[in-house]
Amino acid sequence: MKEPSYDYAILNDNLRFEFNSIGESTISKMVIFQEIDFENFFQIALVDVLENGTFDDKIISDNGDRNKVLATVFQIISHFLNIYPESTVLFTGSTPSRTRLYQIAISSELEKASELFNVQGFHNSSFESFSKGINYEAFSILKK
Amino acid sequence: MKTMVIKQVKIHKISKNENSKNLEEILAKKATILNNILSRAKLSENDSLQKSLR
Repeated sequence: MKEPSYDYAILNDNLRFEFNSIGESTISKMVIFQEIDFENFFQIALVDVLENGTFDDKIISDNGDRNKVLATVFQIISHFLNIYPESTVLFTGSTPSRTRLYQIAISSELEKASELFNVQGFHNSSFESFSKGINYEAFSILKK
Repeated sequence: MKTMVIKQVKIHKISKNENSKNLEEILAKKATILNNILSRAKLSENDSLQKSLR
């Protein structure tokens, strides 16, 4: 990605990753991969770790570093797919606006990402190669 | 638990929370949505879901 990214720590056999978002404040973030009911399909979740020890995937932290956080998540997905090359990473936003945000982020990095990955969007009940300007319900990324 | 640190990343008080119930709930909700999407995905005959994405 063109954007700078944060360093991250790797936990649990490359299934959990942690990093700090440093902007207006410092926010602990965790990225979790978990296999779902379909073999080799992994969901990914990005959550904030709150002061009280709970997790939140809907919070709008407004920390002023959105692009850097998204770039870090993309780096983590790349790392995960290098470790688990037969896997497909599947994700959607926790809210419609967050799904749109992911769509914008993918659009801006599509050219670069497409060199290494197949990026697809789910639209009209099927997965198709990601195209800018289409509102997708979910996204999948796998190694070429 | 094995922890590998890339460069210098200070992580505070996260690991002890990893069994938090609300994280399980977040993952369960997302899994339900994504399993539903994969179940709805139209495939051509003789095509597996994984193959159709490649």
